[in-house]
Amino acid sequence: MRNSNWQTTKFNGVTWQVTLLLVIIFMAPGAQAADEFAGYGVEKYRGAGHGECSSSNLYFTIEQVSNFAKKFKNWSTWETVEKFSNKAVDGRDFTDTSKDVMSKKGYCDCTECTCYGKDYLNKYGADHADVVIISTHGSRNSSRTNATLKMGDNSNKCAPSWKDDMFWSEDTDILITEACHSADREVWLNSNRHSRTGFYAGIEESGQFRALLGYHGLSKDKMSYFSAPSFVNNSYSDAIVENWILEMYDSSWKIDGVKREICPTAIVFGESTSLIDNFAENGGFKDRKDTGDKSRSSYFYIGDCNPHSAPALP
Amino acid sequence: MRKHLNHIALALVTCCTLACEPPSLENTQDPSAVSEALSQGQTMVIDDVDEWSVDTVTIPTDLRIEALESGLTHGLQAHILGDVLGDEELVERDTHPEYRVLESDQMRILMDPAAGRVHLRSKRSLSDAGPARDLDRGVLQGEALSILERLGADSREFAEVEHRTLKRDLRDDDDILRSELLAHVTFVGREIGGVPVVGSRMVVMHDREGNLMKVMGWWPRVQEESSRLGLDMTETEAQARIAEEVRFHEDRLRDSAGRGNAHRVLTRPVLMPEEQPDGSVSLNLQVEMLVEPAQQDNVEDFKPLQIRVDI
Repeated sequence: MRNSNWQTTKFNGVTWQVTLLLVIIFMAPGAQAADEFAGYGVEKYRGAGHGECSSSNLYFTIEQVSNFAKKFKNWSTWETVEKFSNKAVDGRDFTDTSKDVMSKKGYCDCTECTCYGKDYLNKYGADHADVVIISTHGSRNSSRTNATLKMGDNSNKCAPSWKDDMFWSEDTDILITEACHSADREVWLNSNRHSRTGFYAGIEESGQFRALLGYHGLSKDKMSYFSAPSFVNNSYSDAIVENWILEMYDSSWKIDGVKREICPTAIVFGESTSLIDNFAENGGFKDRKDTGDKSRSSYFYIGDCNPHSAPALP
Repeated sequence: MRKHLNHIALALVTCCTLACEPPSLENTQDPSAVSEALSQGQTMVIDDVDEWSVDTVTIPTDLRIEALESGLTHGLQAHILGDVLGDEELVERDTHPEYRVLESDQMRILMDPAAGRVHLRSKRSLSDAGPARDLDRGVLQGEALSILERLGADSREFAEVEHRTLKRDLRDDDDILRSELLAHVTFVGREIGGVPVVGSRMVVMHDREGNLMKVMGWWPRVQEESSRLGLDMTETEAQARIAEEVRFHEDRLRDSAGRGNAHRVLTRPVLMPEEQPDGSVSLNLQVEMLVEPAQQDNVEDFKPLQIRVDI
């Protein structure tokens, strides 16, 4: 009897310990939701005749996305690692419903208006994933107040922009863009945090989005076999902003004696400079530090970097 | 550790105060040395492909690996790192899916010694550093190279050493734009006989006061016996292979009406690493090409293309 009581007591103790452990696990910040990665690469831009958007074809973008993705695949905490290529990359995947063109009734009923914002959808929508990379063409407008990313499928908008289409308000914390002009300094300079223009137009002020990693000037269509996995692995826990800039900076080519520089840049959004800096230095893919409201931003770059097709950085 | 780093910072400032002759910050290795190394090769003329103008390429003919022990493999040990950094407290504290992690109150080191890969970062904050000091960049560079040598990178393989800065722009409460220096960065490329080794590069970062903040990069050991450092074919065959690759991309980039754009194709020999199971690499000679728009004003729709071909 005593023995039986002891066993019961012990069993109850173990049960409580297990229950407590499970409660702790499920309440831990890292366990709130499994991490998700989505990668988008477009190589074919053969135009309407092929149901594709029009531009100059690329060659390494899909492989480049794979080179970023392969490290996430090795990390057990990442629930999904999805990759989409060419015509599976559609404007609706990068468009928020709030940016749909409304009907005269003031809402979108899908009969009188353009209603294609599907960025929240699992699994094609970009804003359903915590970390997103897209490798494609990018551009900025002539007034340097807006930037776009080129899609593969021409069924919807071929070049969704920060002003008119994107609105990162669901899940995405970090957007990595292997695209020219994708984090252009002039567009950042023309972005107003009070009127929410420029890059701010694509970010919910009270939302979760933290950082845009991209380029000022032209980037390159290249393999990234070494640099992409190295950047991801080194940024597992921290230093994500400086790692992006230092890993992707390239000045190895000279043209007629002049260096041809590739200028990676990062824009981090947050409530205060200290929270922004905390993300930049202590944030990583595993621990994407919260930066509070996205009421201001900082622009990180290599000083004096002088890329093709854009003014040199200061 | 902090004491040690502050000591380094003080030394840098002192040297600057003494008005040392500022060394050349870029092209520390005499550029003519690289040209000389490659001038011992054979120059191949590649025929232009339609509207694409292809530069000549000089292929080395007698390339040898002189620094057989070069690689971070042996340097990435706790006692050596502790000695280099002046940090005796490094212990295995955290985990990473692929790296061994050493950590102290001052430093966090991710490393794969077999592969010669490291990411060493001070726990100090770049943005919390004091005001920028007038540092002697030559001294920063000297310290960077010294650290890399002590970790196992042979200086005979140091290519161009480049000094850059890491900066941050922000708008203050009055929306006034402010640019701030965060760090000094030394990039050290790797070359063998004047030929770049793809992907092998080290980065050393100091904060604006001169404290060592970061050492990052990949400097693997090279297996000489499994490397191919010369042509694997005749010169004629190599020329044809390069032209064939250029033509493939020229055709691929034609628009739907069959029109192509004028591009310039820059060329250079490179050594492409192939990772081996033990973490070392074998190197294979390739030609790397950068396809650039020929006209400066017609680049909005073209992303420069970097390709390689075995020769």
